[in-house]
Amino acid sequence: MSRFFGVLRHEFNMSLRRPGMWFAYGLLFLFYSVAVMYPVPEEKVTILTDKQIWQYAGQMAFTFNLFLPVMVGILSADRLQRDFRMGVRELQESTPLSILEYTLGKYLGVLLASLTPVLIWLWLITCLFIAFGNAPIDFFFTMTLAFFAIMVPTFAFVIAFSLACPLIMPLRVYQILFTGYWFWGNYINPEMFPTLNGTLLTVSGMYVYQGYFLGFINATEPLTYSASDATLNLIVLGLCIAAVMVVLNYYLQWQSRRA
Amino acid sequence: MKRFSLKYTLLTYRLDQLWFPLAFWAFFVILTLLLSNEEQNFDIARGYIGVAVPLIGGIMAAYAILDDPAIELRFATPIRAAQILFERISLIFFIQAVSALAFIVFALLIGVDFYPLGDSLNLHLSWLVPTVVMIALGTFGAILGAQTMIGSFLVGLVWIIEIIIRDAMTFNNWKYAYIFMGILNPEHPDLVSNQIALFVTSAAFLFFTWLLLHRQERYI
Repeated sequence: MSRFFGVLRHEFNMSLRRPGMWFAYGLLFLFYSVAVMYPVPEEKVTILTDKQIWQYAGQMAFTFNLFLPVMVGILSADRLQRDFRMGVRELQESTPLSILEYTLGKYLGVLLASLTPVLIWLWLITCLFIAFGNAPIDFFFTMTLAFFAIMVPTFAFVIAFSLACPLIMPLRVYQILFTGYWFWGNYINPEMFPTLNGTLLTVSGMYVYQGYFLGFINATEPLTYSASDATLNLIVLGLCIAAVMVVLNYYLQWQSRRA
Repeated sequence: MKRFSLKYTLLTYRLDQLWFPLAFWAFFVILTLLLSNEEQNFDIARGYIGVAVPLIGGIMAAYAILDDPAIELRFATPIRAAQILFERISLIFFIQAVSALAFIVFALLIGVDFYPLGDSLNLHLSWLVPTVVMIALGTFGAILGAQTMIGSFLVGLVWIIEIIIRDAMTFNNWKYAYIFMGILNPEHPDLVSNQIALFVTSAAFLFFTWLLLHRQERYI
């Protein structure tokens, strides 16, 4: 276990110290902070009631899920591949570190490093929102719940694929395919074009947003997904993540035997 | 010296810069033939030339200069920054241009009508402008951050933001930064000023990239 935590801690620290990640987060946090804190002139100032905070928390987390996972997917794509490229993997193989410990430590390290700045920023803007009198204090808890229910599964899914896929294809090819996939698989209307959007493989968080957080505050149309749909969606995403990690583990074992 | 440099570029050329655009081109061709719907054919054609090609060009461009295992050696030779920039970017642009033109020819052969995009000049500007902007942005981002990941992140982010909030991009001053106006909103009254603004922005990106390329110690 100590070796697993060693890999996790090292990857977490290494990922957090990347200037590129902070630059990327800085840009997106600025964009979202302005969008959340300063509504457009014709919009009324949002003052949430106790009933609305649940929906609004889901709406915010769903909106943050539009662009943040793209950044996380692109930036985490080189985390495993760089160990191979820089010859670090050979050194690691000469240590008693098992492949399972390495893969899980790496995965959770990148995941935690990607989620930590988002959670801190989210708490910060939520506190400001409450401090300005736009929402009751309970909003802090619902926002945290929305983060864990909507954003964490998406990040976990995206990072699992971003670690594994660049091992079998060039990094830039993965980044192009991933960016295209994010739009095609989550935001294209399924009635217009064949897409994964609307299936249980949707990663945008729409299922959880509608199922657990009851969708948009002013929505007039009935909700498409229920709470059981949302649970199924989370189970399917969890299975996909597990499958990717198992395949990655076998792939690394195969690589190790071949070397 | 130029001849040596061109030879070096070709020798160190990463083949995925060639096979991936070709594979993507083939995928869109197959998709068009499979769906075989007149209205969807036009949407797929404009989606490919004006939306997919710029993304591929932009991310490929982010890797164009810095993804070179012998970059230190290359900087040690008396090759000018402008020459490095031109050689690396022009090759990527050339492949994207061939892909877009080949797809237009294919689309015309199967009867796609590009009339909604305007005349021939507007048709070609509709893919040329976003492709040039994305290539310039990818190169600039990578050189500015001294990391290929920054360039690809900027391209990916700008691409997805502008696609998702495309309707909002047609208003206020955002319309001048709307990369996909020529392909998605060809009837917009400010299309010409948008294209001029984007060309100027691309030129500025490339100019700053050229300036930053002089500080070679940043990339070693």
